[in-house]
Amino acid sequence: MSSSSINVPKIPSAAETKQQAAEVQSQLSNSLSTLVHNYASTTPARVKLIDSFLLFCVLSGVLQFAYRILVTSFPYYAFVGGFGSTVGQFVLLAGLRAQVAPGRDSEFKAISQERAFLDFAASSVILHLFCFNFLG
Amino acid sequence: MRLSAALAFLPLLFAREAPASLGIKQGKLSLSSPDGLSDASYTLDPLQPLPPLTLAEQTTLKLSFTVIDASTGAGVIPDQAHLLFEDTTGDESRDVTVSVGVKSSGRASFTLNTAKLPAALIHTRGTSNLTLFLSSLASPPLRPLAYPLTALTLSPSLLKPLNRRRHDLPPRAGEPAFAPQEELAHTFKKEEKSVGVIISLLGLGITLTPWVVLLGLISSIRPQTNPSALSSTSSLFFISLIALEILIGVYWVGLKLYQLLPAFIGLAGVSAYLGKVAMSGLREKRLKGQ
Repeated sequence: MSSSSINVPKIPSAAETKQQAAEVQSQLSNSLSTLVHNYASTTPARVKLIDSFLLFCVLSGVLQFAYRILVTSFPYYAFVGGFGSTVGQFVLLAGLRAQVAPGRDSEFKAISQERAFLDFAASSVILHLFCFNFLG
Repeated sequence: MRLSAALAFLPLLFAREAPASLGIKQGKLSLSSPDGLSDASYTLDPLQPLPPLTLAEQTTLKLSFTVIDASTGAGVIPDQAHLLFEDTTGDESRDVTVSVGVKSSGRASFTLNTAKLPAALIHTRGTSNLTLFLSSLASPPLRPLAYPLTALTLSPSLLKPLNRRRHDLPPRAGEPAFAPQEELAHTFKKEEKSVGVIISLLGLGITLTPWVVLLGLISSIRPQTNPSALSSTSSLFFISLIALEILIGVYWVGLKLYQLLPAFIGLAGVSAYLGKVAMSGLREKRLKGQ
């Protein structure tokens, strides 16, 4: 039996590992920059506005929940009202984005963009009323 | 002479008669026991007080007498006939009063069987001064009678521990039962710790981060939008939405739900109408633009 018939997997050296990691990182950064560039160039301004509010709701909700976990739940109903408002507003904004973003015609034929905005406004007002009720 | 004799009797006419008093006759006190060893019998005589008596177990004390009007000797039915077992230590709360049965003829009798002592006598110290009390509300009034009989001692085997009363606890050494107590001072919870300035500012920065991000993104997006395209109806619609939010804030501060709802429903109706008009105009503009 000759030793050449046995395939021993080649163990990469430290330099090769480093090179591979750098390649992956550059690919990721390239993908990210392409995503951002495409988003900035193809997304309408109104959708970008909605996305800004979505990001705001996420950040606000995360901070409130982190405070609840790390510091205290007092006052509890204020936390419920505040966190609930961010989650609820996120859901309403996501629904509005789905109804006004480009490519929506196939799914939302019966609902115009203006009707979607009116629904969003009415739902938001009612959400705010419920959340203020929770504040106490 | 006749006048002076008549005048001599005048003081007697205006003199008050001394009221009659109750009395007893044929008074007899006897002790009897099954073995007969401590049997004794005494006749009640005010001039000869009775010797101290001791009641052992299985002993029976019998007292009998006839209540009379001391002046006339006639039998009287008194309104009150009681025997007072007065505690010799002077503790009035341990005195025991027992009623004596009096028949219609004025004859009275009292029996005390140590085998069936009244509960009030069981819980005493055992030594007492026995006194008979008689009184009558008859007309003409009769002076009541307090007749001390004898010093009576009950055998300790007949007695049970004294009933505890509210103030029976002995005072602590050197202190009376109700001494001024130590003044109570209010204690409040510790003052809340105040947070340092740096940590407060850090917390403020973290809290405002979402708003900073939002404002930053809006400012970068704003040039791409066309805010001047708002029509008058759209402006009115947004003003009505802002008014609804202000109303919700006012409700949170000072209104009740039943005060909010009428105004909220009215303003919501106005907003709905304004919104429909505004969005219809925007839709027409959008479709024309396409």
